[in-house]
Amino acid sequence: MTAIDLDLDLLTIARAREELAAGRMSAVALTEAVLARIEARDGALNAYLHVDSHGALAQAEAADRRPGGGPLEGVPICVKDVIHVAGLPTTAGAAGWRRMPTRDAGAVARLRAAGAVIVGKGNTNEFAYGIDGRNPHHGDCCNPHDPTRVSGGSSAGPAVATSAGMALAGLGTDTTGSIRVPASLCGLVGVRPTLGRVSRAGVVPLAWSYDTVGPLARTVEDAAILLGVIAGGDPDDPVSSEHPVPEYRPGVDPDVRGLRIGLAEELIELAEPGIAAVLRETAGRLSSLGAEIVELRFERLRAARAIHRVVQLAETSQVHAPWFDEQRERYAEPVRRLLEAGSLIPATRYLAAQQARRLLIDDVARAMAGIDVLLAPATPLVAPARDAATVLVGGGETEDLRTALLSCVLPISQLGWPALSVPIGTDDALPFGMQVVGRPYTERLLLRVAAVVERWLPWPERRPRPATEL
Amino acid sequence: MPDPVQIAALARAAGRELPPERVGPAGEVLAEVIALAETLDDLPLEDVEPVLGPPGHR
Repeated sequence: MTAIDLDLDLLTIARAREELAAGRMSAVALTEAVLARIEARDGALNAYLHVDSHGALAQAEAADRRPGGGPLEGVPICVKDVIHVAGLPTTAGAAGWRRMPTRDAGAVARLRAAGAVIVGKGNTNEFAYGIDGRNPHHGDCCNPHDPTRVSGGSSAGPAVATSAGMALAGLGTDTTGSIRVPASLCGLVGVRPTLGRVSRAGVVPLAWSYDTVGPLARTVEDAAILLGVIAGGDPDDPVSSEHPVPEYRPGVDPDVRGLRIGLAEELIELAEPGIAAVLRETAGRLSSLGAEIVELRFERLRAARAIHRVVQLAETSQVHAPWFDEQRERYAEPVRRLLEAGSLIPATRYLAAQQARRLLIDDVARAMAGIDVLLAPATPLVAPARDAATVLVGGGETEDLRTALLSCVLPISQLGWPALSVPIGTDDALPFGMQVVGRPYTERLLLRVAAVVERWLPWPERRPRPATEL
Repeated sequence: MPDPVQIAALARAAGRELPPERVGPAGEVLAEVIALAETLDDLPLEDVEPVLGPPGHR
């Protein structure tokens, strides 16, 4: 049986591993099917900046020669092009900036050790400095549900590749929302782990206070498998944690009985009415399964935008300092001016913002006393058109696209806590997701809640329509 | 908004000198950021430890 017989559009990592382990499918056949899909569709979707066909097939052949194998043996994965893969170029989605790493990033090394097939490098906003997946140098990444719409970013390529069958999963980064937003807009599960849960070694930084590495996958179980592989301490990353890595897969019959689940009211109010209604309906269904739902408000949440702007701008500017003068003329203008301004932010302003951030974290922690997880929209709207500069948001107001897409994820990013996006609905066939947020190292609980939610919109019902129907 | 002379001086002090044509664009963004930063001025920051390092690790 081949991957095509199994239907690449329905295949999950869990199912692929069953078929591969049983010898009913070969890793080479699966990789060939993925490469054929890339050949057929990536011209229109632009998920990949670099495809390593030869290397991927060699990895697949090696996987087929290894009996048993690791949890990702033979599974094709797209890696965001700010994450180093040995022997493949890292361009960070930029113009004229290129590194040729000889070592895998920490998370990639773990994927490889688990048997994954690294197919190639995924498209991203320039230096991951964006939330929509648009790229002026290499072309926009396009939403597989409707290629006239944004994919979300900046982990755009891994999201689109996973959604469109050009990989079975993706490895991305999330600083402000760059896993959760494309997951929401492309109908995937995306996990922003606890800051430090996954090694950042070998990743081009965006902002040290916020950067995380995490999975994008078709299902909660697949996301859990990936997280279990990549989580853990790394001597090459001083920020990474040795906190024990549990079994993240939710198991056969996850439930929410007895959980106290908070609703982030200020964030729900930002969403389009249809999305807010589906989120509340989802909470209602969780309540009917034995969870207690509590409406929460956070006094300090409105400070998040100012905090983030100051901290990220200053840090990102310093990340680019070593190469900025040489690269200056090659940046797209919006990124260039942000980097130039960031270098001018006084240290006093930066420190005050980080103090304000402490107040925000403490405020959320206090409000969440006795609450197990928090629910909020991942995006306040479905994927906007690729040529949109502004969008209509929940209150009927017009907002610039970037601010709108960031609005629900940015406040959560201040916490350093884990947050995932799980699909909860579609609007005219365009998906949207819900954030499930928890305290540090509670990813297992978040995935359990997400697994319950996922039953109401499983992958076959939210996958992109075949290209011939678009 | 800081004037171009101030922006240029700030850039020199930061060790990130700006070409003359970049002073204006950088100044515009900086003005917006400072305006946002000023919204934090009234917060009670006395005895508040800034987040320096992974914020979730307690």
